[in-house]
Amino acid sequence: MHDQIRTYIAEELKWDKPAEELANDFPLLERDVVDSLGIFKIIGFIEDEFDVEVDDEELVPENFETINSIAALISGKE
Amino acid sequence: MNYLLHHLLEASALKHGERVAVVDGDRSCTYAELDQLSNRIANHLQTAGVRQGDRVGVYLQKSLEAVAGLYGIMKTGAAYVPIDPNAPASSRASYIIENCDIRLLLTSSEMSEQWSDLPSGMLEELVVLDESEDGDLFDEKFRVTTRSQIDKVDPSYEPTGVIGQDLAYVLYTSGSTGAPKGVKLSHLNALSYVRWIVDHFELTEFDRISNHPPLHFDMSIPDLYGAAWVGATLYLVGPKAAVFPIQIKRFIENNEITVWYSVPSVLSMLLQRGKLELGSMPSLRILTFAGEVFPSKFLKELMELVPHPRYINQYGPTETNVCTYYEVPEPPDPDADIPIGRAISDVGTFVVTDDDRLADPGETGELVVRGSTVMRGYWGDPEKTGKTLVPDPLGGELPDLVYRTGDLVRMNRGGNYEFLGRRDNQIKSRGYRIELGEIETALYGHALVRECAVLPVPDDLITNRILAFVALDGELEVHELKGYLQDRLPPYMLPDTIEYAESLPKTSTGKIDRQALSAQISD
Repeated sequence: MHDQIRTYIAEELKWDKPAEELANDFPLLERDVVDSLGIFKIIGFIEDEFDVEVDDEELVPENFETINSIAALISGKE
Repeated sequence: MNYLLHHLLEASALKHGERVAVVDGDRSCTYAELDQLSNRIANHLQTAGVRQGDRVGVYLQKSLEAVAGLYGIMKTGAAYVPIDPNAPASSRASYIIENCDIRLLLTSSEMSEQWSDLPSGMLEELVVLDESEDGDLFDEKFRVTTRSQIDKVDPSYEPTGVIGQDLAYVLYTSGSTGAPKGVKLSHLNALSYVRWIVDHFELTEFDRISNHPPLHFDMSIPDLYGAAWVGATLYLVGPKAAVFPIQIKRFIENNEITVWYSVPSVLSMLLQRGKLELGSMPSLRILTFAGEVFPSKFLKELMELVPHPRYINQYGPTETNVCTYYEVPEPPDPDADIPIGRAISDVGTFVVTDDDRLADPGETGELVVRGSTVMRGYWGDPEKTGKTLVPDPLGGELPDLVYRTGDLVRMNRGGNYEFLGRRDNQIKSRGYRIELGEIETALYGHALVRECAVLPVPDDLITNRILAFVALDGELEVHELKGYLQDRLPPYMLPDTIEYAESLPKTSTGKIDRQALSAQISD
């Protein structure tokens, strides 16, 4: 799951290095890899790829800070 | 008499000294404290050699200290130059520093990683405004002044001889030839606009005004100085809250915000993902937006769900602050665009046709603006200034120069202007104006890029997404090209998608065929 998220972020969002270099604990929000539009892209990706629904209440920074936190959000739903 | 922007702060410090001026997360300061800190900054800057007419850069995240810094700079008689803290230090920030002859930069310790990429030569000193461990702050290239040193400076203040016509700030916007251009705005320019805001929004010291737009964006002006004018409290929206719609709703509700101003895309996202209910955000009195077209279908839904505030669309290129407005009277027809309205107080507008006639109502032409909000020109570029700040294009007797916006409009039956598009390659995305040529110039800067074309892809939420078509001479991974652009362009100008092609389609005259590429996108 982590790798799927990593590949998506590296290809579709503001990451300028090879996907392998995007660590699971890299601060995505702090370093502006994920911005307001990026959040919407990631939600679409999560919902399509993992067949889960992201609730509006879950749209908080804690769930999107790193690849780890995004993965935890998805795992909690499966 | 308040004829300079910092007079607003001084007056509020006298009248409302104990009222809270700025709230920044869990920190805040009163008007008296803000005034005193800005005096210390001003006195330090003067000791460091800043003189009336100079420019001082502001390169830090929006914060309580940054706000004090803006006033401190203006109190020396210099103009402030806000630089996007997310803009790459080595290129765009450096360009602005050199282009605007900046010798001193206000910054913060969290920006210290960027310092080594700033240009030596012109730049001499970094003034670090946040409180930090002083031992860590040392720089090989620049003199560093820390906050603890600033806090020891005398807080008394001696006014300078600056007048309203002098520059208060310079805002850099995207330039079509590849380099950003500095829009020069005077104290009078800003005050004329802010006076309209205070009057038209009926601001009082009891208002709680949000500040969502960044400082390098002209949309921050009414928040900052409208609040200071009446002694109201300014609530800075942090970068994390700005990303999450539900955080914005909480921010507004928890702080009981009465006036909110942002680009429409933020409000569209709030509508879609903010968990709004009928009557949410009850404290809101004014909901105002600018920077891009608000899709009517979203505005209609928002107005139905949150019916109590006044909804006001503002329009105006940075060069004019704001020049027209439209108060949306009721949830709009989802199939009709929201007009940009009519001129604000003390601003004149008219529409000129392609053959230099005054357009009739309903006829399309370029919007022309005159009045005390119109800029003083582009920094160091009289040629560009002369192309947009011109004598009466109708050949009449107007005593002042007028500004040609490059925006095509027409007047509707109700006497309101409708925005129809641009005369050139400028687009809007997330409320920012972007010259596609500037992105193309950056792409062509890469040795392996043989051909490129950058096109807008219309998008409901953010007006336009940016798509770059690129043909290469050799091998280059997309992420390498993305990295190259990130070192040269601010985040909002980075292409959302880069597509490689063997070569780009050409017209019969050998130019890149943008229409063919556009057709390719819509397929």
